[in-house]
Amino acid sequence: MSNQIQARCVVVTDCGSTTTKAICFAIQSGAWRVISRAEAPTTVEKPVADVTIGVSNALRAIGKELGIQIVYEEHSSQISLHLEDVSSNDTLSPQEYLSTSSAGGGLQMVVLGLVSKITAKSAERAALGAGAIVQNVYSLDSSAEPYEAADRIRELRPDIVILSGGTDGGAEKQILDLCELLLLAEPKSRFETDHKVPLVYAGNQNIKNEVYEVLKNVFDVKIVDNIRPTIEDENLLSARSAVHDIFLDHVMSQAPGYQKLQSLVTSPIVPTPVAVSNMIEQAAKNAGKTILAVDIGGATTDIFSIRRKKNQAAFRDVHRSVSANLGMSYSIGNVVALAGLSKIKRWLPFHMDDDNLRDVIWNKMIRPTSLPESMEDLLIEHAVAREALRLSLDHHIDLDEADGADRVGKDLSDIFKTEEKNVFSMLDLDIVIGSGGVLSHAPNRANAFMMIVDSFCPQGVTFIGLDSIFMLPHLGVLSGRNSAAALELLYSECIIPLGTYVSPQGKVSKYRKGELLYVVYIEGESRGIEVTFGDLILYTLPRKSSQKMRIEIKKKDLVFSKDNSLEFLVDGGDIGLVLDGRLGAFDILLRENSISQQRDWHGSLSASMPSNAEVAAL
Amino acid sequence: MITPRRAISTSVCLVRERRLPVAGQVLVSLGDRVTYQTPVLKADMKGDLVIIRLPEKLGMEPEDVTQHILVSVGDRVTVGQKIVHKKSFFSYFDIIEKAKVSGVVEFFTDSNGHLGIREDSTLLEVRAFIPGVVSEIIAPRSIKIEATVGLLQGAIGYGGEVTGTVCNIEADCLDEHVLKQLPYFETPCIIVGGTYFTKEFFLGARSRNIVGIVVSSIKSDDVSSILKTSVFGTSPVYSSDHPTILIVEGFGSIPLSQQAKDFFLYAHGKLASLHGLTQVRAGAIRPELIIHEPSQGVSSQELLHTYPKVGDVMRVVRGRHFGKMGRIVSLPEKLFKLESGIETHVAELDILGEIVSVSLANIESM
Repeated sequence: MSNQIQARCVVVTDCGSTTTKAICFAIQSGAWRVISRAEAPTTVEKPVADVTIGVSNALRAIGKELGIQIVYEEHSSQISLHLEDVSSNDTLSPQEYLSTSSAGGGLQMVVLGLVSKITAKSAERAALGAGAIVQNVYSLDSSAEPYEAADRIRELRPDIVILSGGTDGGAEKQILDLCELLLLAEPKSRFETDHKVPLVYAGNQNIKNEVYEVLKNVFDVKIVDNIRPTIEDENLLSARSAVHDIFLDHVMSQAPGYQKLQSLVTSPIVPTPVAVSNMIEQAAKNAGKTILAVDIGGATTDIFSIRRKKNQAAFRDVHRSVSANLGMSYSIGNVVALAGLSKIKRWLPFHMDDDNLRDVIWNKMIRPTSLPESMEDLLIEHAVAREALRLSLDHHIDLDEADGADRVGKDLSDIFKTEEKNVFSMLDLDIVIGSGGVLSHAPNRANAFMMIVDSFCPQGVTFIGLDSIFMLPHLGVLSGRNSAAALELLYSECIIPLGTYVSPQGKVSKYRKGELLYVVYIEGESRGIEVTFGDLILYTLPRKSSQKMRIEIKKKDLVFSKDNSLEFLVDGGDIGLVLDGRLGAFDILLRENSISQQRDWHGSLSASMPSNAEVAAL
Repeated sequence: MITPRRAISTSVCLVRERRLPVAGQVLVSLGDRVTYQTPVLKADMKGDLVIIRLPEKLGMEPEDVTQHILVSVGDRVTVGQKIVHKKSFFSYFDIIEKAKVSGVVEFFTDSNGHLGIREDSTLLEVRAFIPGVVSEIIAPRSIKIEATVGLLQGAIGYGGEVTGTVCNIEADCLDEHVLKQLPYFETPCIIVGGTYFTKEFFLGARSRNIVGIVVSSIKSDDVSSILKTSVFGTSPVYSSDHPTILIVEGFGSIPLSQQAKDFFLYAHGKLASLHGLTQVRAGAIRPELIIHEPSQGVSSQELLHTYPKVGDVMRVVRGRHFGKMGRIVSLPEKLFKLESGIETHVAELDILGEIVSVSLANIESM
């Protein structure tokens, strides 16, 4: 790469929607190391409304730890960040400052259509499919007066507006009426930056030019295919992709103070998902392994997957999805709304009534930066995280398959290409990496391991890693400047090996609890380990150790790999080798006595949970 | 580390924006003193044009319509007024068309018999809501008012703007027994006090002329079962027939803090404005109870965040001390391990003589 640098000390910040994370990387004793890290609340909301204040707080904490002075100055015309070495130790003097940003957080949308049950409903589906929170749906048959609707739209400050209506060649005047309403509303961007609010027009294509002309001075208009080209047909793909791309490229990273931050960095700011995506791609190609990685944040959950092309060794492009309505702080209420309280409750190893559980979760939503003080509070967040991760993976797969369908096209030759479609399968994945506050900061890594496998249900033999201190975004942006350093740090400092997870693909409805599924023979062990339906078994296999493993299948429909192989070399980690007989059948296994079952599973992996005495006292 | 601040102050200087939904007319000048009732902005929303295709509707020829139409361009018509009347010999077969809307006849086209009635315009008026001085004019849509008032900001709210006299009720729960003891208030009333309210109190409140309720907490389940709305405070489904609600602390059953009790004692009997608008993100809008008459003494500037320091009084917003107040006795440099296992910077708070360590992320300044 032409823009690669040779700096020996680099400071990188990742401005998330809730927290700004700063890390200082430097060469020490010939190797790249993390020499300091600090966090501070992100400051994009009023009254501070300047992302650089949070950056400055995090950098100041790093400077204090390192004994260097990081000076943040705002002059009348220029802002500069001085990284001054006051310790006379030149290895600690940062020479580059880089940043990623997802401070713009979750995606909130307003939807407009002609008829509430037809075009407005289709537009709403497109917005939801793109991972948005739909704040309001307005149609001409709504009961609200136009001025009330305009006021409401303005008040809501949507990130993106989607306007639909009319079949191709159909209604025109009514769509222009909706345009008039939008001009009346003249919504400003959520953070009151100077950017025009993006608007996706997915209506009657006969008047797309008129719509563009009418709205272009107030909105950043993007024209896409009609969401309802005929009354019978619904075509969401184009609108959904446009919303997703606009959010990723323009909304997510933008926040008050973004321009100031841009003037501080020594290389352009990279949207956080793009940075993580870059790092995952490098890691996959370097290791020759397929990877699925997740970054669960406060407002959004991003998933990245890099898989092989069908029947080929070559990798496909990284597929990334941003579920902008699923997260652990601002979006936590939406996770509950989408998953349902009972789905969250099933993960708790202690009793809690619905009202109290909802109270705890909603209080987190109105105070998004607060931390769980008790073990119960922590495990409630872990329970919500499982559902956020599960729903995000559904969204990721849905988008991946929709992308495939989109590429397939409609003519006769394309029909044959559907045979080439690469259906998403968890069996394809060699490695799963978890990242994001709730995973990286879990006090006990066994709990992080359980969150990952319970929600994603990897199949076959999968290596599970954890981003130690939530560093993937930082390495992603660093890789643009020094890819060798980023890769070195990825292995030495970033990815904590948790261990290998074994779980077959199978028809779960056939089995009864306790029924023998498979036996694992580990080289050097005299006896095999029997795994029955419902079991979760830990075999100690420490970091930097590997073992040969052979699997004997006891139910013929079970599958452990695409090529049907049953012998594997498995790597250890902080948790070890985990043999799972649950097959993701949580609806069946947790139908009765879920608390006792969860306590057994937590106990199997030595995951943290309240003691029996504490549970009795609750 | 910055700590969010939710004001409870008996005398604070604040600035609030008043805004029209559409461009309109500013009715006040810079420096004008306003009461909460003073109209400060207004706009005329032009009515819709309703086109009546009379020949198609009445089965007549356009020239026939022209002969029998009873109204002319510029005439005012009201709902039910005859606009076409074609008489028959015995009146049995009269053809009559009446206006379905009120407004002014904007056009009548002889050639096709189409009649256009422009519906009445809607007057939108924005009042000052708080008493103060006009400090900025942002024509043609908004103004700012500066005021010295008493202010209590809540965690979450429901409902729009109301004004009334504060009535402090010293009860833990606002229920039907409390409601029975209340008179019909001659002027609108805002009830404050208590940990929570019941469905019976909420539904009966309007019958006592209660326009607002301020309590410490609400059970999350009650948001849907009693308020019939969602957790998000700006939900459009909250009925304007219901009283506006301000929740001081949050969800659950959280007793009122002493600061809130003291504030309510000061506010009792005074005129107040209340709104339930809440936005967790992007602007962090909190519901507010604004007492028009501040307490005597020095008023402070409104601060929305602070850097906590030893001696500050803080409110705990999570964990087993949720809702309690404590004074910071120290801010340790070293990380502290919470019961959950999370390591974090804490403040050591003196809560009623007990020294407890609370994460800096779990406190709010007052």
